[in-house]
Amino acid sequence: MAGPATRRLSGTVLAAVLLAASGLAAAEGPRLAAGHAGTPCVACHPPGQPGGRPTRCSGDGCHADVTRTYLSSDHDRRHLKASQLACTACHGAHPVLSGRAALTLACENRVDRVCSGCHEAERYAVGAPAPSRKSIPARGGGVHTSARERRGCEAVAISCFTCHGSHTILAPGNRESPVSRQRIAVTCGHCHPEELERYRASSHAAGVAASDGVSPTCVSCHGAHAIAPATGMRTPTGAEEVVFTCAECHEDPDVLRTSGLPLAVIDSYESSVHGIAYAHGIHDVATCVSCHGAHLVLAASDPRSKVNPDNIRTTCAACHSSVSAGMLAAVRHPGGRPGVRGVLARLKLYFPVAGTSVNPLLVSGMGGVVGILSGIFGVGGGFLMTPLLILIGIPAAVAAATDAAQITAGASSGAISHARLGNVDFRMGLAMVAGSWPGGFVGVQVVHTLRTMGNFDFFLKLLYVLLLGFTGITMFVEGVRTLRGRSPGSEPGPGRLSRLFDRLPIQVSFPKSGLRTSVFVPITAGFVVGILAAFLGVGGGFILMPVMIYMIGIPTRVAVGTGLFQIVLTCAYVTLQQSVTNHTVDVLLAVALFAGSTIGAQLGVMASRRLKGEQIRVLLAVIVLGVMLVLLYQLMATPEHLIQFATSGGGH
Amino acid sequence: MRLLRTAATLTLFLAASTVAAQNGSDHLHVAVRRVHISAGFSGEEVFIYGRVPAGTERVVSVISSPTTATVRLMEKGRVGPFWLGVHQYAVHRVPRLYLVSLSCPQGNVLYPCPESDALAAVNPALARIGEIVGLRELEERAEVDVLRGKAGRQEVLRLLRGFWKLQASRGLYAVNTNRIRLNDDSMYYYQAVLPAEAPEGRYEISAFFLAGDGVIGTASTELFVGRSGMVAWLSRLAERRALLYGLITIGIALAAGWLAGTVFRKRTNH
Repeated sequence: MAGPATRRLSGTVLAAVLLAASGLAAAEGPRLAAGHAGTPCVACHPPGQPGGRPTRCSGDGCHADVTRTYLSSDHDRRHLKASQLACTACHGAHPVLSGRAALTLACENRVDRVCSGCHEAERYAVGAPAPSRKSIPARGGGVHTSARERRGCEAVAISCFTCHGSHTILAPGNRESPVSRQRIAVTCGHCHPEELERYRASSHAAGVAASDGVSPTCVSCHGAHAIAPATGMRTPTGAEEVVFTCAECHEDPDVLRTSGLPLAVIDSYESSVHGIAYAHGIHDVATCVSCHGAHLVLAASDPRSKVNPDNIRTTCAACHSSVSAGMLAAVRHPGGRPGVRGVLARLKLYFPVAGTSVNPLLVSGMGGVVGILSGIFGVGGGFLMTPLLILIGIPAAVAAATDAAQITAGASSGAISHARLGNVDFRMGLAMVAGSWPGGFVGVQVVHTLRTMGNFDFFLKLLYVLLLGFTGITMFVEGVRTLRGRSPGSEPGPGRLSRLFDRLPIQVSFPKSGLRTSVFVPITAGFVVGILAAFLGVGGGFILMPVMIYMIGIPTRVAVGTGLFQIVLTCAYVTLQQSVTNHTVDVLLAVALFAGSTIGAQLGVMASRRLKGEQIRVLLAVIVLGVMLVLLYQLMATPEHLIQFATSGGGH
Repeated sequence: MRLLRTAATLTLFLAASTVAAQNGSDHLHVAVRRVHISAGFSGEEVFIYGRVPAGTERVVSVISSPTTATVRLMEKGRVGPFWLGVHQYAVHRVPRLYLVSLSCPQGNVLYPCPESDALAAVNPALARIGEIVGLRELEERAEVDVLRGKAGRQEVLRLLRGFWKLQASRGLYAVNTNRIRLNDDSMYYYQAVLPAEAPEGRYEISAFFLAGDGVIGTASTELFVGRSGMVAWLSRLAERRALLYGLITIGIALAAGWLAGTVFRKRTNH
């Protein structure tokens, strides 16, 4: 333990040493004079200071501002507090170099060496040690270092200071630091203004501004210290590695989850024609930056994006003289949807009888939409469902047969609800079924026989178009006329044919429908519908509907309920017949359809209670006409394949 | 996942190369003996590899389902404003699945050998041993009956081309000219892509090794593609106990309809 006497003694010795040193310094002249010419030694080394250690450089009004700045920096705050006089660490002691001289020192790479003295060796005296990634890479290799060497000191004097600042050095994690995520782009932009301008408009910059914590800044792609030339092949942004650089974020599950970016874009790029070539070591093909740009990276939905559908052809034209739709399809790689929606979108189920795999949710969704129509209009929805199923890749025979099972479920749900509301005329329904079952049976046989003659489907579709066109237009005109207020809420009433029906034998009363007519009327109607249903591969509801409303004269709501009841029985029968004779009913597909259609049918019934009869009729007319137009288009449009399977198409 | 699969395949391949080096007749291997079609099946990639006889220049491999079927096809033509079938045919002896893979010595991934050139380069050699691959095989083997309309040889060829296109759009027929890779002239390998619509059955896989104008070796093996689990159970039920299956379907349909009706009635009452 040193007593006061000892301290005094050491002070005296120090003074002597300093005097000697100043003598030496005088001998060296210009070196010491570099920054502190004329400054006496005692200004920094006051007598009595233990160990000859100088006080802060701010003493006696010197460098007060700089010192204050320095004291707020991370160098002082975190690491060198009270233990070292940090000024000399960079500026040197004898001589002390001024700011301009420090630039020169930077140019000689001495600053790098000064900083690396701590940062590479991690010689932080106090506080947290610098993480290893902060260590300064070896000289050379970095584009900044080589530029400095190439162009000379005055032209490009890039050193640690240039980006990190000098006295105000702050850790990169500090938002105020010029190398923080928030400010690094501006810092780099001092020397790279064009790149800054493009980057600022990019979605990457928008992410950084929104503090999403994952969007890339300059250093994410180019690296921080050993910044490689962008044009080099084997650099993070060079042709050989850029895909992997982008993949660092675009394949990172955490980044994808946080940012909601599409999944597997790199994966899907790799299976595109460009990606396959890239994987085989051909590096003059399009990589991420060729199409998406380097700094101005934007989502494809952005109209400014180079890969926006409006701009993509121009982008491709940079390499390809002509761009076809096929070429665009071959390189398109939208990636998968992230999150739960993505998982649901990727869901696949193998349907055993259909013999192919389809997303079951898609099937259920279709079931739901058709179910709503079924509930509102009392139609089975087969006229919509069968073509939709074929569209998603279900074989036509399976689509038509499974549809019958689906209609059974959807219609039974609707029929039960309508029965509770008192809308089902069971007597009428059963009479119709008595006609439709034999009708369906006859229809199936007739279809089988006629098929062999060829083009049967075509003529049926044509017939369908005429039938739908006629009923659609009639219902539409009538419904609109009623809606315009001729007599709101009125029912069409029995048609002219009913007088003929009155003369037929076995007159039965149908109290629910408020009718008394021959039992042969519903049976005949059922028979015709059964045949048509078998011909066209549908439940026949929307052919039955106009027949019941306009020809027999059943009130619309009762017609809807009774129609559904009749459809349940007819389609259950058809399902069984299809299962036994053709083995074309896919129970899994049917279940996926029920899941949607039964719920949809309920929603439809709820909606139908809010609608007036004539509104329902106009809506149904619109749908019927729509289907008619689609069928007409199918007959007239050039088919994708001129050679087709002759057994495909509707019909049981 | 993809990486894992690639790694596993590579390991298998390396192991196989060692085995193949010891065993002189290992010209054709399939990484799996059986492909299971279960509820999650949506197509499968099958790794096929083997040792090539010394001096092999080209490798041709064919996967076909030997279950030949008769298909009824029609050709559509324009009559007035409408498109309708103008010819109808029955085509016998066509495979349900037919995948041809070739090595492509002159091409690379950017410029693969054109299909016609690649087939023209191998078919003369294969013809000497009574084989042929591609659309020409279909033309040679398929028997076509014209059911309706008048059709000559040209129409039949057009029909088979159209049929090929139709099947190719479902991934069931394909010629992949740059699929097989040759490794140091001692091994070959490729990934065959079975589509989701791949039929059940015993597939025949064959490999032909060509040098100059001749075939210097052939090999063949089998791959079983079969349904398993729930998929197998349901499809067997649909085939063998159709009445029961139909009744079950109707039962489920009615139950689903009733359930939805009940649930919604309760909700409406509340």
